[in-house]
Amino acid sequence: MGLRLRVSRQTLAVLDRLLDQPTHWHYGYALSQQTELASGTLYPILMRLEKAGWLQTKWEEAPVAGRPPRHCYRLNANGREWAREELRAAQSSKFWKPAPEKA
Amino acid sequence: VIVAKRGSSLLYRVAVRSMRWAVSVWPERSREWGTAVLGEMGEIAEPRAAVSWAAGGFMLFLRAVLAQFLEWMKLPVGRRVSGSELPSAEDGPQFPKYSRLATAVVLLAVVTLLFLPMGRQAARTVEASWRGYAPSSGDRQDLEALAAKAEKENDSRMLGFVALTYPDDERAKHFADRAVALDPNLLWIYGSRYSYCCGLDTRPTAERVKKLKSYDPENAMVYLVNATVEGEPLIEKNMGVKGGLAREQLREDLAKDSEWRRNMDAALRAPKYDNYYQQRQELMREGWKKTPDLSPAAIATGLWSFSLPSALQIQAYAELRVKQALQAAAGANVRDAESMLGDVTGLGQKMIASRTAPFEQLLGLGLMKRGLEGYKKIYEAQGRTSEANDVVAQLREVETKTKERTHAYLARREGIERGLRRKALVLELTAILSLLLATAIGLSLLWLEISAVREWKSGGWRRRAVCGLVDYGPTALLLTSLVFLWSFRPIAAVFEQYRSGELGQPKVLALFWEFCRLGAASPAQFLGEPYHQWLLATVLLVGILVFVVLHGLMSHGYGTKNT
Repeated sequence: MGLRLRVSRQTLAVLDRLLDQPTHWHYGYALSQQTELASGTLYPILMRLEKAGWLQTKWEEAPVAGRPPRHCYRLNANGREWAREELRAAQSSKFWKPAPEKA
Repeated sequence: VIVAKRGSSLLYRVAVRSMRWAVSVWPERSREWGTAVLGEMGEIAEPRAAVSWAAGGFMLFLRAVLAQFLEWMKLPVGRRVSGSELPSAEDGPQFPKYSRLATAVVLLAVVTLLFLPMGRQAARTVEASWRGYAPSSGDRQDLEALAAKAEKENDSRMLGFVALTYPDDERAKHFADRAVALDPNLLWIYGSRYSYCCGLDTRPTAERVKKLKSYDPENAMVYLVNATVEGEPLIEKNMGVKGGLAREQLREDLAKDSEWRRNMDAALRAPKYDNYYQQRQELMREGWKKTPDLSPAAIATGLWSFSLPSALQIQAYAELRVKQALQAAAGANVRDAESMLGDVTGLGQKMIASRTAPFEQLLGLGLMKRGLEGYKKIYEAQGRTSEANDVVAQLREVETKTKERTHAYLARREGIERGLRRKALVLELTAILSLLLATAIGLSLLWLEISAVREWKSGGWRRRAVCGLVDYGPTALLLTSLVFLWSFRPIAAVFEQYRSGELGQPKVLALFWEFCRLGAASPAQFLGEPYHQWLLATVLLVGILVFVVLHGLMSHGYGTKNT
């Protein structure tokens, strides 16, 4: 199913955040702040995850009139399973470790 | 709070507007991601963070545009990325077989070939030959720029080079003056440029001739230039309505002109003859070497505008002197007569010894012959048989040399021309063919792209022909460009040898004829010769044959649609 992804440290950081509250919908700006990734890095990762079939997206109407709608993201069931495996593999090979929880 | 913090910020407003614009032109396929980036901007409190967010969004936009462009390049010409909208059924339009990328790569190879130094030179040479080597306004601008740079750097020799190659008389004189002001050793330029062959009037003024006389008082050429300036109005006066010259009247008029006689007399008595050919070639080489990209039209002007003495005036004066000598001998003043004839043969000998152009050597031999005939008449009239026999022997020698040199010159010219004829024809033909192909390909590309944007319903044999041209035209253009450059190689080699000073005088003549032959093979002159007419007819017939065959092939090859 989908494409085989080259999983970079940045991708792993995004997967980690998406798995934090796996059933919740996440916003792009919040993900960017949590992972400290710029929009120019974050969105290509999200685009690749979506293209690979791991990511679900939806549009959410803005609460304030006149503002554009917001795009929300979460991993689907297959995506979550795959993400956990990738994170485990990356941690065991010491390629990546989760960021310490901010106080 | 967020709205109040950022609302008045110019930075924030610029970031949002830029992002909105990017989304409005975002490639359709990934536009939702642009909208997603824009949607988050309402949540960003800090203007700087908004700018940083928008900058990232802009990078995303550029990636999307690049991806769309690459996808577009992978499709054949005339197909859009949103190609699924186009009908792909049996009645849909035909498209070329190869992608835009393949077409672009081949065309880029052609452009690269023609932008290489030799390609540029070949294109400029052929283009100049089509204009009959008449320098264009662009050539004049190049020379002006060259002169301005030389003026700034006090480069007298480059200014002298511009003076020799500039096509307009007044400007050429100005540059000659500037060159001479910086380096008086370049005064010879005043006597070196005289270009009746190009329809230019570059006769030096009296003031410049005066300077030339004080610069090189022992040179016959200086006085011949002066006499030529003096005698020119008399030639024009005696030129008939139909272009015929009243020679007898001209001789009489010239003989009456004391200034002309004085200069001719000084020329005959001058210790040396030098038409500054060597200095001129040296300066031309030097200038061309420094500016190899200069238009061949400018080089041709410089090459063809070298000064030659007026054969008509020299012969007229020689005849006058021989006549005076015979009169002196008849009046028992043999010593004076011999001295006068000695002046005539002396100038002839100096011209032969100067080793310049064949024209001057033949002119020198002509003077020798006239003088010796004078001696012969005098010695025979006085019964000095032994001296008369010596003169007859010398006359025979002169006649033999004249025949040999005329024959050698004509044979050499014929040989060079024969060698150049095929080369020039191939070069000119491939240039014309390349130009026609490039135009046809350009128009075909344009037509296919416009028909895609405007969604024209086009089909039939015309569309098939255009698709075929877009598929195979670039390769054909690459081949003709290669043949074009290949056939220019020997000419480029002659140019290079000239610039590096490896060419001897006969080879310089080859360069001269190289230009002439290229000019003769140019489209403007093309139909003049029966040989060319047959060639053109053959090319046309081959063209029709190729068209018929291609048409037949394409009817099958493009019958099935590209889906």
